[in-house]
Amino acid sequence: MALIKWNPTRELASWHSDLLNLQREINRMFDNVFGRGYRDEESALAAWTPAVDIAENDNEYIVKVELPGVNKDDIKITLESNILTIRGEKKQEKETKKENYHRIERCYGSFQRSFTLPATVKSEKIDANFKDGVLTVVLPKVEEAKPKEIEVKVK
Amino acid sequence: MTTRNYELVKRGNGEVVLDNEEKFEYFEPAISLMENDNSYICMLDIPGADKDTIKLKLDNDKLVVTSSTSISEENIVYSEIGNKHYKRVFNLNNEIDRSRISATYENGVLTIVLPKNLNEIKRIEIK
Repeated sequence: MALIKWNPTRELASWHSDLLNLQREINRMFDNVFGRGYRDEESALAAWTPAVDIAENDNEYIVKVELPGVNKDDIKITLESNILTIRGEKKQEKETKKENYHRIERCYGSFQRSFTLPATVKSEKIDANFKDGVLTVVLPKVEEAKPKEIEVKVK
Repeated sequence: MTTRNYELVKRGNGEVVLDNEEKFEYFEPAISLMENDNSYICMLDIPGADKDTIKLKLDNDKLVVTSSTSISEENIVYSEIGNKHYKRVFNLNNEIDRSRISATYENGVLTIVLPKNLNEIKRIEIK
């Protein structure tokens, strides 16, 4: 058997990183239980939560929400002091008495997602479009919230 | 007389699957599967799918449904959706008439109707 130099500090370092990993795992488990680490507020009354993508450029925010099979009339979008809320209901298809359900994975019922926007938006210019089950909400920023270029004067 | 007998599976909007053979990651959409006297009806949640990319391939006993989305990736600050390759494979049994399978896409939901063979249905009476 070959002789290896014993480095006690190396062992300590690996315990330390193991502890850090454990902490990270526990944090992640908490995030999973309380909803995939969302940074928004959710209603406890929602039966399911739709997935979202948020994009931001100098002029606007763009929020996309996956709402397959939801009727346009069952979607409500509200903006209240910089908090954007998208809520509604996905209704089940009308069942005829003669249908036998084998497997239901798709979600039904009420849904809600809320987001706090960092910058103020022009509430009268908000545009919402619903196509192929994806809701796209465009929120233009007010002029003061847009980034400004500062001119550099060279002497 | 049909009885209500279903499996309510909590999958949310679907699951990501890694296909080890083809080294390809895809998203398995959530389904609702129903049956009535004439056919099976399968609804798949595939929001944002490009109509032109929806393909249903029939291979004897397997029905492979694929589609993909193309979301513009500019300036994304938070993403739960992303671009997806949808894929789901269904094993068909002898009840289904393969020549009359049809599908429609509306509002992000793909509805596939799989009619049963009209002469295959046998009812055996218990005396």
